[in-house]
Amino acid sequence: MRQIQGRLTMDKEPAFDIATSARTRGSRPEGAVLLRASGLSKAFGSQLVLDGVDLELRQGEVVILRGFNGSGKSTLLNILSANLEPDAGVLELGVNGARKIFRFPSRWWQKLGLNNRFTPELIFNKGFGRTWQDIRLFSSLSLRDNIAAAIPEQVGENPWFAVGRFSAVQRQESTVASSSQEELELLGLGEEGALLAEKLSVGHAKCVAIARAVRAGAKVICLDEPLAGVDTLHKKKIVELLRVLAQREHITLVIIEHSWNISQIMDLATTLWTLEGGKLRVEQPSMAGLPPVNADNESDIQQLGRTATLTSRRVVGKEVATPFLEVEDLVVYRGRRLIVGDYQEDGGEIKGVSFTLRQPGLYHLHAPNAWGASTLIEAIAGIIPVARGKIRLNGKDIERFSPWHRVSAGVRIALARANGFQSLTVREMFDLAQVRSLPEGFDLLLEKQMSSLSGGERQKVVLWSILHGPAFMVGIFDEPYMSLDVREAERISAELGRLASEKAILITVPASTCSTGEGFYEVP
Amino acid sequence: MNYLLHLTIYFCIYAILAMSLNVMVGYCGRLTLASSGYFAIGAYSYALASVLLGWHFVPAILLGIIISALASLVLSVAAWRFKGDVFVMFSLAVQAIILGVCVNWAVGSAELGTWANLTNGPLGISSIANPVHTRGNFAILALALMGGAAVLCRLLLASPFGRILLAMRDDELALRGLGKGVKMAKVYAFAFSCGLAALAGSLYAAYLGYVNPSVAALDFSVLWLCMAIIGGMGNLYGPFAGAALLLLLPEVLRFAQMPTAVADDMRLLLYGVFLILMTFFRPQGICGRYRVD
Repeated sequence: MRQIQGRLTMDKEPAFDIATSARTRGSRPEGAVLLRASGLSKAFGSQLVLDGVDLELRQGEVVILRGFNGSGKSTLLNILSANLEPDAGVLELGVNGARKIFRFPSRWWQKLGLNNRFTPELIFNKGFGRTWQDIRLFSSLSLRDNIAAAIPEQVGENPWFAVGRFSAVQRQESTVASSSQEELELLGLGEEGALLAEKLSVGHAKCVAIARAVRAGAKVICLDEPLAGVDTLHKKKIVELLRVLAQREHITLVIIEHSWNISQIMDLATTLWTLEGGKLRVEQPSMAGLPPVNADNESDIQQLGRTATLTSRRVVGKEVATPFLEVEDLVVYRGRRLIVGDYQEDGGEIKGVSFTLRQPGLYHLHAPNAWGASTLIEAIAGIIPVARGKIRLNGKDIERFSPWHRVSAGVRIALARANGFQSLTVREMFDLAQVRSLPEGFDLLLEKQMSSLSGGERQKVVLWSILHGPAFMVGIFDEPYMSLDVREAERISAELGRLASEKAILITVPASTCSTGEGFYEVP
Repeated sequence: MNYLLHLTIYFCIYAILAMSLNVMVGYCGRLTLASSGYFAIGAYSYALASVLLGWHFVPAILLGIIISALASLVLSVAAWRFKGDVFVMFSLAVQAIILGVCVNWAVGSAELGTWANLTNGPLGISSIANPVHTRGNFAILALALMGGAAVLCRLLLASPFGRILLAMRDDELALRGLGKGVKMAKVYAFAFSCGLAALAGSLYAAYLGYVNPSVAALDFSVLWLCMAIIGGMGNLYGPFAGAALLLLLPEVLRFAQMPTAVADDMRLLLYGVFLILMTFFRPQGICGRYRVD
């Protein structure tokens, strides 16, 4: 069984091989063609998302697939992994010499799905695996079982053999368990083998998801935003893992990523696919048109616990800022697990989190994954109870207020993963949020259901609902840029910057554990 | 002593049913209301085989299990496409059809066992052969069958097959995206689950010597589902806890010397209160890890 070579540890700098990188970058490998698609089209209702896309994927390529929100990146990936059927086109797969051709539209008898024609499992068995934007580990299984479940050709998966060939199954199970454990050790998660996947932080979970696809035997892996929502430390780890897969394991990769993360994987890339107006453009990888990496220019730094920092930007012309939201010694648990607050090394009382947001002001909370930024925000919103501490809004204690009471007191919160009401249309969302003026660019989306929008479009609607709804005093945004494209992120960022001249705005961003020094790729 | 044996036999029947529901709901993540239907298939198959054909206990029980496992295809093929509310509605329809067949497959004065009368309608089938003559022996038989079912559950569910079922329950699309087909896994798991329900049904028919259409009623499906949920899903011990609780609750009332009519209502009331308390304080059940949504 193959294994990911090379140990990836948390503290080691990625071993960047300039020679290999120079060789691969900018020159498409001339390996065998693994996938060829011609004329792929897909429409949702009246909106044509893919309009005759032609593409070719060769062995050893590392493709970066980019495009604006709603340009059809995820749709294309869903088609390549057979989660979605195109309306028209031809798809030709050819891994391991065996060719398989799918023509669309399918005939009615093929649509019955009785003969396993165009299904994810069939595509995977042709060597095409994928990972998901929302990770999708098996949440109630341990990490070890997550990987074990993916390992192919297990005798005991057939119930007759599970009972009839008990000892053979047991023998294979011990091999499977030890190789799953080995895999976790390579990811630096050796001691977390029995941990349930639902308790894992985003960064680690994305690593496990990639390793799971590799262990299942994928020769080509399509990755949907592997770096989104991941802090700098884990980003490095994932990039290093991708490098190992591409350069040592010779796995072909197709990576969807947003522009500000692309800079970190650009040196791996051999090909750039850009989706625009339903067409796919194939280019040489280059950094042109990508946002520069900004250095932080915050003026005031507050330390939150050991690893997170709150930085604020000075608002020109408004020197006197009044404390507006004060959080004092806050401790929050989920179940029995301490999330917000730090255990003291000497075993003393737990140290809560304290900080102050002044108005006006723009604040960035840089917290590593699993630090508990989302939990902190939910506690401020009143969604989960606090164990200890004070939350004061404009001098008034609000920790006993209900969530809607807090909203009417002037607090607005955009959670990272609660993207609106799925069964409402965009227009209904705006009506519900009392948005007075419809922002431009939403005309085509207004009558669509939230559930039919792409992740970035949903995020857009939620953010605009808050920004253009009734007036507020404190706005807290949990990873607002996570699934937005550069254009949209710039728009939101400008809007937030403008608001910050009157209100207190707090934005959380996944950050590195080495606090303010590096790693915050801010949209200009 | 007789009373204890009686309780033991009922415990075995309930535990087998809870195991059956544990497979379908706890491991496959499909909430079903058709369990009483498959229980009835087992009970009627056993009754007909023993009364009309004079079959012995073991072949009669096997017949029930095989018919029920084949009939489970209706549910498993539906589960290829449906889950959640739609599947619950589908299972409700299956239960209603089976109940309808039990009540109505008897035309006029036709003799039992002819194509015109297979179930004897609302009157049910009586004088079903009991394989053993004393209650003690029957309790031993029931315990042995329950033990066998438990061992089979352990072998199946603690194996890679069980892991595939749990992964499928958590995220079917992600599992398929790893190259694992799930259709046959569903077919096998549902056949096993419905086979267990039929085993419980056959035991019930053999013990009482009488079966009527009320065994296919929706009330039983709901009651057994409550039992399995309270016991805890997605593990191997929950079914026993649930069965014990379901059995002991009415017995406590009996010892409180309550009139039967009042005790019956009290029993339902207590189940209701218990279920509400469980959803608040221990939604994953007494022994469970998995929360049924």
